[in-house]
Amino acid sequence: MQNVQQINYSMKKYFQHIILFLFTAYFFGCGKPGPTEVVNDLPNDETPLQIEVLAKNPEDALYKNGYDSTGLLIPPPSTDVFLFISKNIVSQQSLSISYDIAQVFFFDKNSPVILPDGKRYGFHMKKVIPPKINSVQTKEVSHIIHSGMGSSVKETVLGPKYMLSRTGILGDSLSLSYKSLVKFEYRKGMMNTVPPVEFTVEMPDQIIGNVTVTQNGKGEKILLLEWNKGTKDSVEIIIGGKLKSEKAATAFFKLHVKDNGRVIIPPQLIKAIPKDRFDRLVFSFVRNAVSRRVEQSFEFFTVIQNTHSIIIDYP
Amino acid sequence: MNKDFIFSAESNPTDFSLVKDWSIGISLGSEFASQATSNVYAFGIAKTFGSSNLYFRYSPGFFKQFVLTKNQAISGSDTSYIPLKTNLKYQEYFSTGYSYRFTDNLSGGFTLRYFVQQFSQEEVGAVYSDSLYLIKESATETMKLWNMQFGADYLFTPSLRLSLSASNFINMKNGSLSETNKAFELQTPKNVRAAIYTQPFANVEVNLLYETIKAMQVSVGKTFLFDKFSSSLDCTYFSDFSLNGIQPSLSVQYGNICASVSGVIYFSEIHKTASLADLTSTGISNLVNNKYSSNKVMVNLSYLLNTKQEKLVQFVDVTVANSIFPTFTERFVDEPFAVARVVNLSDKPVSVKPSSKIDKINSELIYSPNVSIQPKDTASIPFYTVVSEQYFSPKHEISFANFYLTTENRDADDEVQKPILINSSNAWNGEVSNLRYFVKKDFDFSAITAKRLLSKYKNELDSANNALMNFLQAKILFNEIITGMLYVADPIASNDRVQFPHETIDVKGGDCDDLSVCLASFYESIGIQTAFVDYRTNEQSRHVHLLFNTNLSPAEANLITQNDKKYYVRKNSLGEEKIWIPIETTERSNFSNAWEKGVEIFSNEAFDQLGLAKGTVQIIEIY
Repeated sequence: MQNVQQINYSMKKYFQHIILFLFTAYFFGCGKPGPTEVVNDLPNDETPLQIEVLAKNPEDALYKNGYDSTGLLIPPPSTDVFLFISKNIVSQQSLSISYDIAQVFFFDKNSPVILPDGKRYGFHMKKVIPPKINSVQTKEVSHIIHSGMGSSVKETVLGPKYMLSRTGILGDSLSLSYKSLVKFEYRKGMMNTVPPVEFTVEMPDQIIGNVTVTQNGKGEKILLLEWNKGTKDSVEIIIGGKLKSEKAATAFFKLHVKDNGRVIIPPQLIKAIPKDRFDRLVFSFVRNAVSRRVEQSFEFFTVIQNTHSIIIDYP
Repeated sequence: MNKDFIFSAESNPTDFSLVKDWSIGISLGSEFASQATSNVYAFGIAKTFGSSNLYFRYSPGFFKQFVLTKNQAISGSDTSYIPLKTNLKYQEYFSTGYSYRFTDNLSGGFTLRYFVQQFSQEEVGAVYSDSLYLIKESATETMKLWNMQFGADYLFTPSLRLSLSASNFINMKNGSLSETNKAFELQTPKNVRAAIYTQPFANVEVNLLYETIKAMQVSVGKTFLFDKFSSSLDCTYFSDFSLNGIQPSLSVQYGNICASVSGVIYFSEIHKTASLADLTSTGISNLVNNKYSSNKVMVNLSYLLNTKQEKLVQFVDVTVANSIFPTFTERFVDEPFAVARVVNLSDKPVSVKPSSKIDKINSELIYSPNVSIQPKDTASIPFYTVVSEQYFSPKHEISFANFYLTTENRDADDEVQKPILINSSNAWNGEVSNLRYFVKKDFDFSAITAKRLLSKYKNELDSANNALMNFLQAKILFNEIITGMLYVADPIASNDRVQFPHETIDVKGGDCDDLSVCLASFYESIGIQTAFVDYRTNEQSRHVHLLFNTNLSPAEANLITQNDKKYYVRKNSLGEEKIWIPIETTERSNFSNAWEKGVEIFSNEAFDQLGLAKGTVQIIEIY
């Protein structure tokens, strides 16, 4: 009997000690050591890359506005005047078309645009004396955007914009050259007593892109985008898709890439674009210069760019 | 106890063979990186089954993670910026091992360690549904690794042990890695490790370890022993091709629990960030201790769950010094019948309680005095016994004696059985000093018989001078008992058998020791002080007779004789001089002749031949 009591006492003592152990471990050992940061000091060909979604709702026609095969996508900036100058080349298979466009928007800050679906979309434009681009007077054109999905697509007139465009050798007398200055002139009134708003902006170097379908080490199809290196810190590449039957393309992603001439598109981005909805992919290489200035109390937001859009069949 | 058994898998696959029964250990640590964190490093358990040991360790803290920010990021229209990363995770989930003790000196074993390496590359993905949004997707590759180490230990002496082990000669991998991730794979260089564990001085340990991957460790430690606990202080210096430092440690052991606190202090530069070029070229081979580790503090707790007791002491040998003479009842209380050499196996002082039980002699354990033995020391422990006065055996027999060593443990730490000769009750070893035991053995009989014999002379004794009482009683008893007896020598050898008084009376004869014992027993039983006179040649007893105390003072000597050569004066315990007269018991005609003869022999040998001075004549008091 005495031995059984001794054993029971010993076991009870053992369990008490074990419980004490476990509590100590539990309260003491909550943390986990953090990771050690690795500094990339190896030369590598991985291009620094930021990816941004443009078409948050791809079915909305809103994302087909201002983005067509020229590779332009114009979100309305918050400014008094928006000057947009773009020299574009569109390539599909062996065919290339050049397309130049200059647009000027004078926003009425007192008149915001509310789309039919209730979204706020910038401001209405106001009528002014048409400005000049490279001494050529722009033409007044109504700026209409489409929004909504499916059968609910509606048109919204935002107001007049002032533009020049030229396709190939046809169109306005708009002469844009790479690495050259473009002059902007605007008079507030007809009287010559008020000096005009004048400034120049420089067109960046021409960007010439190339798209190659290849394979990675896992046998997956990947897209290699290449272009001529320039002097800019970065270029933009816009990836969109379109159907053969449609003129307008939907812009999906914008890639901010270091201007070193090469980038591999992450395969998952392309895979996400449904093949049953889009049979063409559009890659627009954009080399631009963006600036803001205030001239005679007008705040100008200026984008001058040249693009090269390449349309390929869905790989 | 191996207090660091939880890290045995790193240095010595056979080290957990030092675990005695169950052992549980836990290691907790704090690492002082850019942000101090604490976590459980490892939890281990080991169990001994006979000569085998099993060991298991779960090691959540054996973990290393690197993160490399890629050149890709997801940005939002709200200028948010989410960079993509590459995550490299290395984890040793657990290890298990087995060791076997082939002999007391040699043990061998192996451990299996399980690692999982997980390399995740974050890539941007997109989801096209009602809305289009970007997501981070991980492409993860996993490589599982079973790493085997095997080794052997050899114990040259209790203070010198050699250990050899080899690792990474056998690795089993499961999984595949792309070329990119192969560069991050855990390095597993083949390695042979040799270690020497020594104890050059008491409680001082010096350990040396060398590895063929150009790593080494030197460790020095000292143990301090206190009453109820012990404490160790040690310091290890370690160095390999990429880092070096020290690991000081303080541990305390109290009973079954051992706790230690140690720190790791790196002398080499601590890399708070890793270079990708370096990581891909040299990599890491140790998850806890590498050039990206930071200084640490660790707390180890070990608990011995011994369901069986740990042997603290052990017999080296037992020597039965003497056979048992059952009649010498009190002799073995003062003089051990056996002596054992006992070793203290533990590292603390142990108080040993020896006990023994001689079959047929003892009905229960006889405990001998406790002996304290220092750690690792050997001591001689005497075993005493007691023979019951009721014991009687007419013949010699071989029996066995069980010897036990008991310490703080409930059961005996060790036991040994030895054969032992139990002589017959009449056996005598020839030492006259031991004849007293035969005198005392039959006291009851002698007293009753003496009184009965003396009662016949009551009138004579009552009318006699009181001073002559001893003399007269001695004379009467001699005449009644010894007179008429036969002188009979022992049948086989003269010195190995003595009759008890009642036996001498029964057989009516005996040799000089029989008759002397018989007469002495009767005299002592009625208060007459006696002594044996031992006549020796070549240090062996040749003859014995009696001296008895008449209790007469020298002035009263004339009451018994006018011849001063017939008596001898001796002082009693009070310092009083009393007259003693010798009696030759083999002179069985009458008291007077026995007295004459006794005087003749005693005077000649003790005085004329200077026997008392030379030691050839010895007077041995019975009490």
